[in-house]
Amino acid sequence: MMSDMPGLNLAEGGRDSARLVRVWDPLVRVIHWSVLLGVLLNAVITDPEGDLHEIVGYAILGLVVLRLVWGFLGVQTARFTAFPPNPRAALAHAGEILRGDRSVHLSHNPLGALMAYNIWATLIVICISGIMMGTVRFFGVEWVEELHELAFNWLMVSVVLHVGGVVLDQRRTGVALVKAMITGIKNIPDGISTK
Amino acid sequence: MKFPFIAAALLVAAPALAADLAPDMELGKTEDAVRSALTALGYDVRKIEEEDGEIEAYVVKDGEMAEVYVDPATGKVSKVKG
Repeated sequence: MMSDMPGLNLAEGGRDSARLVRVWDPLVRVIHWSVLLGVLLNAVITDPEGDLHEIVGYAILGLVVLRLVWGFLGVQTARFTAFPPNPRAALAHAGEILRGDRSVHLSHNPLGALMAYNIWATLIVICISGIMMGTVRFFGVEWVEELHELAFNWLMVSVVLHVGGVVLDQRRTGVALVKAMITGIKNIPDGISTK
Repeated sequence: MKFPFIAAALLVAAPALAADLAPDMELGKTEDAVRSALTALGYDVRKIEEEDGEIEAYVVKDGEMAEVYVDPATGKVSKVKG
């Protein structure tokens, strides 16, 4: 029933009995939830001018960079080649959803892929502008602080859209996506094909 | 065994900027006054704003950064964060 080989299941796309497919490796999952924890800490708990805020920020940057490296070196579903940034594919996917298509992407679907790239880019902008604020050159420089805050606000908008997308996709396909990001395994319901 | 030396060095080095900006030093009761006072003391004033009822100035001198808080009621430095 369960396979450790996502590649094998990709080859079996179109089979229609309910099945479990291992899609997210431990590194992807740990990074996902650790970044969320870090963002929550720095958004709500840490003093923006304190050392802890900086430490958490550096940790988030390290996790994002590690994830990006993993996008080249990691397992199949973690690689950028499994979910290339492709606005046209995202539009086409949106059209498919509207037409009632219920097929499941084993990695990110094209819309989710754009959101992943958007969130990584936004996190990097927040981290770099934050680091700049602590340098003599950019200390107290208005536009750097504004960039840090603007990017943070955009991150909050993105998180809302991300969670909304996950909820909608769970309804559309019946795949428990949040659970998949915890256990690494997607449950593909009866009658649903995979891509 | 290097640690005590580093700690000692930090203790000696850290107050360099704070030394000429001691609390209770009078800088002015308005943002403009604080800015000119700090500039006259040789600080590069990057930004001045009001924070929690105090005047907060972001200053740089000799490659050191600090946030200087001034109580607008007295015009005196209330806090220096290095």
